[in-house]
Amino acid sequence: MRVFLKKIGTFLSLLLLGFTLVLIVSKFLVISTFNFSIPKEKNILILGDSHTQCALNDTIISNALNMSESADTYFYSYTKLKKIVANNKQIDTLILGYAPNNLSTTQDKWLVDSSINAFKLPLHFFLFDEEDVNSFLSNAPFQLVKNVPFIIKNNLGHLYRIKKKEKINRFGIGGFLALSHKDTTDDKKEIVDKIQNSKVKYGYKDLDNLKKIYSLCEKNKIKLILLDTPIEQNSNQKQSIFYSKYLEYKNNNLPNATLMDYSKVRFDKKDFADKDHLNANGARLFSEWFVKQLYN
Amino acid sequence: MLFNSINFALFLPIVFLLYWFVFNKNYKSQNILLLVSSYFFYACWDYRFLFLLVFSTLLDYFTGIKMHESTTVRMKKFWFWLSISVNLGFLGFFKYYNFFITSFSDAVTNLGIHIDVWTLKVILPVGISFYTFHGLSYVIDIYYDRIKPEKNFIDYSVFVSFFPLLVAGPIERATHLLPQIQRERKFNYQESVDGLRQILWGLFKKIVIADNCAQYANMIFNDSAHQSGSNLVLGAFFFTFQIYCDFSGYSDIALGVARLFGVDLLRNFAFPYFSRDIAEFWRRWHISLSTWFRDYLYIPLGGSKGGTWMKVRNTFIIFLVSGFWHGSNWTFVFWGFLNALYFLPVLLAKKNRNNMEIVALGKLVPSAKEFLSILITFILTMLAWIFFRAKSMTHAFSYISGIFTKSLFSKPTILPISILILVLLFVLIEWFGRSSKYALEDIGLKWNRTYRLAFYYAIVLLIIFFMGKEQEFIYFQF
Repeated sequence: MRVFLKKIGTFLSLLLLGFTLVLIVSKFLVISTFNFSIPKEKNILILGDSHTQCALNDTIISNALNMSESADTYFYSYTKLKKIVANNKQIDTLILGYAPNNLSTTQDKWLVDSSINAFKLPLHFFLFDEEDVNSFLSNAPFQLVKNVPFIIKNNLGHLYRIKKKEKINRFGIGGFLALSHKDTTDDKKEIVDKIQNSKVKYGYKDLDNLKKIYSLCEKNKIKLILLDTPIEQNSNQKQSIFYSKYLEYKNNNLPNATLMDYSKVRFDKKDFADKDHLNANGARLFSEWFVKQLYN
Repeated sequence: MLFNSINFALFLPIVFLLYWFVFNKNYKSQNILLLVSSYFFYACWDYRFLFLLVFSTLLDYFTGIKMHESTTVRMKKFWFWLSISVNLGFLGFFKYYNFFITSFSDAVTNLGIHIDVWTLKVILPVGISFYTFHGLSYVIDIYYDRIKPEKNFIDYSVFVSFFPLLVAGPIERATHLLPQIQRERKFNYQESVDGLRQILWGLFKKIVIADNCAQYANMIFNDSAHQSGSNLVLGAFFFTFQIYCDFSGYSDIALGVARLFGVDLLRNFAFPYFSRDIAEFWRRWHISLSTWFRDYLYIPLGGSKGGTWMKVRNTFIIFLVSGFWHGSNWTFVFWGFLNALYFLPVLLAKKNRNNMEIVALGKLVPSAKEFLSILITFILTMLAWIFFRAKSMTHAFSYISGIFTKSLFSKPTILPISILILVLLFVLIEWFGRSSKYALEDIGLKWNRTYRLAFYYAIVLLIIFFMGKEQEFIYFQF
């Protein structure tokens, strides 16, 4: 029995050791060869979740780079921000997605959601520094272990993309997404049902990451613009539940940030891909209009 | 708790260590541990259905004893039919009630009468078909005085609920499993190493082949109306490998896990896709169920002892019942019917016991005739699986008619090369290991230790890096 356990232990230890080594080496190779530099003329960085990812077309806002990504919590935005800011001194403005739902417990659940982490963690892990690893481990330690093979797989993919000199927004960690038009009738019904049944509560874990983003911006003298993108009419009901808290949180914790709330700006139904995401045409209209607002 | 989950990866070593280090004083305490672990394992699915499992166990335990103690035939029959009817009643209620009631409702609606029916809105208790059949075989064997009832309730409960076989078999027999539960079990190094190898191969089949094939099979079957003929063939091909690797992978893991506890379970698969005719296929596919039906249905009905008509009738009965056992849908019944049709010519020509030995034994490749026979059997099986996988009979027929169109000769638009290469690699390993109990049993045993370890590491890495999207084991729904 002892021989059996010893052999199993050795087999698994070697496997674990091999994985740890490959993980560390591949992460080191990616981070040391990854080009975080963005064109000098791009002084605005856009981060956030799918709302900002689909709303701001950075080919229209020529001095901006949209690195938002679907289901990005502030945790993932923060990891990207640190690396991009450290390598691009010209960044003087950060546009960050900020909507009432970002303050809810849902956002905290996303931090530990296994299906969300299963696709986000492997892609983003190379960005993690010690602080990020510790933060992740405190939230979902098993998910880090579980995703090690996928992290390695993605690191190898990243190395291939680095060799092909792909742009930063081709690495799956963010970039403008043009959605097509969709009939949103069913979505509306669904969201109304959800609102009536929902008990929205204040989250706290991911808001700590928002505070870290704020501090980093303050430290680097980066103007922080909190942006709430247009959403369909019915979605506003959800906004109203949380709207006062959302303003209150901004005023109390992010006093120097500028809030640009366009959630109530009316867009035609055909400009939406679903209840709260603009489609390509909506993004074009909003981006053109937003540029004017930004400079006014 | 899935066999391929983190939870099971934690559960198994804990039970293993407790079994051999803490509860190793005698087999009785080990049985208590196995029972508690098995109930915990089952409760992880749905603790509410645990009562059903315990009730079914209690019922068969007591009726078994009562039958044996009966002094009159009448009393013996009473206890026998009580057990049979309650067991089948539960199975019928949970598994077939909705099917019968909606089929009845549809039938009367066709006659112009509308009735409102009450349908059951509960999920099917996991493993009910398997543990019910365990219990039935036990009760039937006692009734026919083949075995004596088990007096120790713990031992009997372990026989019914032993966690490796609890939810998807193999369907065990009291004559095979109970004696193993009632004796001292010593740790056997070779058996345990072999058990781990079998688990590894089972995981490869399930995680790499079945789960990857499932993604493409689902994609094609769920949108079959818009697929070309060549894509539909590919969909059926992927499902053929999905179902085999899913179920035989599960069986391999179950057998391997049981061996870690010093228990030998019945073999369930013996390389069925290398069969040269449909009779051979059925001797190699889901063996524990096929032999169950043979022993408890086919033989009592007269088997092949009667005339031709009786043989044909009995063959159709067991295939139809076998189809229906899989689920409450006409597609399963038709799948059984189709297999009976395939079997018929072989039976009538008295060639159903022609291919008893392993194909091309001792040879590297099969002969042209053997290859052709294997190919034809494989294609017939693949065709039958379409009915098994389809949502309805209409779906199945439209799927098949979609294949036989001009687009059958077009290039498939869904062609995952990496998955096809993995399937080819899998078939090759199975081919080279076809004379063993499972493909990996003998492969590499004579190699240098370094090469052998490299081979096992390669399989582990394939599992890790080519892991398909997690799918539940197909046979859990049965």
